[in-house]
Amino acid sequence: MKEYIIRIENVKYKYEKEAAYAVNGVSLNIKKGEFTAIIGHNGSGKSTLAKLINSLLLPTEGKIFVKDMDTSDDSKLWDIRQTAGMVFQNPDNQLVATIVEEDIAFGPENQGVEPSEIRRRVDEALKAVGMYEYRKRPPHLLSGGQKQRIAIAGVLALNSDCIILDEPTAMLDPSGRKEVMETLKKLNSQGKTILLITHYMDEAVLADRVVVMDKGSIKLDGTPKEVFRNIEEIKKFGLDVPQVTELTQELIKEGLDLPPDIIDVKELVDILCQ
Amino acid sequence: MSITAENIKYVYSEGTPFRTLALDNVNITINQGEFVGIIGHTGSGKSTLIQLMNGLELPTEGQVKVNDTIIGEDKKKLKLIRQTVGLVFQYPEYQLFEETVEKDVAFGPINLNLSQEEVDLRVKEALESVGFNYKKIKDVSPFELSGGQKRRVAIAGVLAMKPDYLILDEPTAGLDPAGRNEIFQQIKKLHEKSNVTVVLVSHSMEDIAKLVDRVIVLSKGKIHMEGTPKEIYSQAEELEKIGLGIPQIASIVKELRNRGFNIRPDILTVEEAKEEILKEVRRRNV
Amino acid sequence: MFKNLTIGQHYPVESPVHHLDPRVKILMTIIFIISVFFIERLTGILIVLAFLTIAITASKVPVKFVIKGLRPILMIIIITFIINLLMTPGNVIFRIGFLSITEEGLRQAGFMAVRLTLLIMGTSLLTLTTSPILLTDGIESLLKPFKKFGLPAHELAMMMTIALRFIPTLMEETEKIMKAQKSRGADFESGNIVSRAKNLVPLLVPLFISAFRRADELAMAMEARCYRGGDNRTRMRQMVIGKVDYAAIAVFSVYMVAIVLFRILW
Repeated sequence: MKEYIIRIENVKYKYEKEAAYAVNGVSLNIKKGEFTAIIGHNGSGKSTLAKLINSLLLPTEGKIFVKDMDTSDDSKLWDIRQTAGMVFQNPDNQLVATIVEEDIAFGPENQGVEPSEIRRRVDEALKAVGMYEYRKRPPHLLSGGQKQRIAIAGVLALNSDCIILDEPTAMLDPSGRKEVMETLKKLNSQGKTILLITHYMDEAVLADRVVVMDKGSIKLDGTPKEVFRNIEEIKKFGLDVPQVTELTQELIKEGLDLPPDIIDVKELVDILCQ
Repeated sequence: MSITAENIKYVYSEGTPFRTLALDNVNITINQGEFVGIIGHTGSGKSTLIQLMNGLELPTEGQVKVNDTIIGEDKKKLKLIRQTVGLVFQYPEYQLFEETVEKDVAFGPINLNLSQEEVDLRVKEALESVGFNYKKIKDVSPFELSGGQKRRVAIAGVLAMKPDYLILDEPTAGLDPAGRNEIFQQIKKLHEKSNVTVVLVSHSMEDIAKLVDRVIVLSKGKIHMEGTPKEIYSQAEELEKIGLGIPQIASIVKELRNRGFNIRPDILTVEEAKEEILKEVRRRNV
Repeated sequence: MFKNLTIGQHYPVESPVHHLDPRVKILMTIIFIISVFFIERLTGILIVLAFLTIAITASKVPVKFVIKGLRPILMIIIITFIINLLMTPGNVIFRIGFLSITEEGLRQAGFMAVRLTLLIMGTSLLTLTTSPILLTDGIESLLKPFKKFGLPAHELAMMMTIALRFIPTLMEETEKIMKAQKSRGADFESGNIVSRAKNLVPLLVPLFISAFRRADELAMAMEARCYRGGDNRTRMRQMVIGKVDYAAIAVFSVYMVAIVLFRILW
């Protein structure tokens, strides 16, 4: 069995004393190297959960461990943030420097890494996200998708094992979203643990595991196939299901003999054309 | 009555190394009562195009006419044009500034120098048309609302000017599926009820196909395709070629047809796809 | 409306001037500014011009660009010219009502205008050839010795970096909000000062709110990337004084000697 890189144990969180729980009793273990998508509509508590893992917020109740480090342990704060790097929604508001490579260097500089090592990490991170040619550009002249790739490179330069992304594509156009998803798939195949928070189901189907959140708690958890076959339920949570799954289930109702958990266009086409 | 753009060329940063030709020889007519979708990816010129339609930008060459008034000919008419052509920008919630929702929505009508009764009436109508309970919402600070609610208040702010043409730039950007549906439903209702001309700008075919009568596809500053959603849908490959996402249904249909399935190419919805596939499967099994 | 802003804009080409250590460039610019006020005669101006010509040529920045930097300052130059022209006592050569123009005034005004022009050209050459990040690095490094006296060198430099990073973003946003409010019938162009100021409210309120939101999000993003102030922080880019710098210092020394000699001898 692979080790768990993130362990969330019955966590509750509320922003203000009087408010309702934004996260209400979540338990979730993330394996090393896993690509997990957390989906839920706005206000379902998914973004709060991300900030809790990165120790930007502390649980009101329960515990979170990142690589066995308790997120409420002050002395481990920087190690936790280094292990679980975070990419935020607005690409503009997380880039610090006026030149791409300087921005990626920001993290390791904060860690006090040797200059030559920073250089090496920055170049490596830029190549990993396919932005090496853009290293001298000012970020404000890049597209949204490119900015998000820079933000991802910034996390890579921290040498994080796990990348948490809080709706990284919400403000991007389709080509930007594609760029980001391709980058994430590639990094995951190289061993990075990815925790993607999103409300796009077409992104979630690319993950190994999908967790559906609603009203601060986990409602469904499984492979994309296991999760998306529950069309009615997912729609009830204010989310979309892949059109191909919907079509498949409609066809089953009409008497066609198809598996109910098709989430991929090619899969359906192959079966129909047999 | 229509908005017409004739041989539009738009160049920005002229005379610098950053010179860009944003629009190149574009001709467009938006007829009153229509529901038009403009799609194109970032940098295709769609944002520039809509800003030309209400006089925020003037074309480098060519002219834009709104109901027979040439934009830019008479500066005094600009205000009237902006009232006739209402423009809702992307992320419009960032333009809210008043202490209460009511005051913010009233900003436009007050600028039109309307009487107080008229302003009040319009604010009420506008807020109700985007699905709010006027009494409950009017005294709330817009900054206390959720993202989706803020956006609806901002849209109401433009509706209160009673434009003949309503242009919305990515009105659902950043919203979750539920928020997206809600906004689209309200726009649809608005179009049906008040017969306002609606121009919906998006980079996704998926969102607008079900709503609009006509789609204009922009790419690299030029009109690449134009037609009914069905006509555009049936050219899924062409859309992909210029970097636009195509809905999953369109790619299912495309793949099935490539593999010899005899179904119509212009399928828009899951329901239609189901009917067509069933017909073909049953035909094959006979 | 912001498209013509060139002052402070980096012109990225490869040139010896671009490759100079920012600290050397900043110090040279400061001394250059002083030198411009040191000159008194036409010959002095010629020396400064000669030096600027050499520097601009070596920097490979088109002269047009350096001159463009003057545009936003033109009003200030003109006002300085007029004030000097009218306020300097001496031999009256022309008089309209209570206003009189003197020979000394004309000379003084001319000199001030030329000085300001040279000064702006010199400083814009610094910003045109030095990326903002190097500029802040240079300033941070030059200010470091004053840390002992409580000067927050790192914090100042970080503030500058962030300001530089967000200026284009906020300008874009200003333009966008302005357009959005114009679409709602707002008028930013007419009316008297009071009504114009009042008309800015629909622009300024959203802009401030957005700036605060951005600051909040940026602070969180910086924390997430392990930022905890300047202590124990390293820098990827190490500044080293090299051959080009020594060459530049040599050229600059010749210039300074010339300026001083001309001032003393003639």
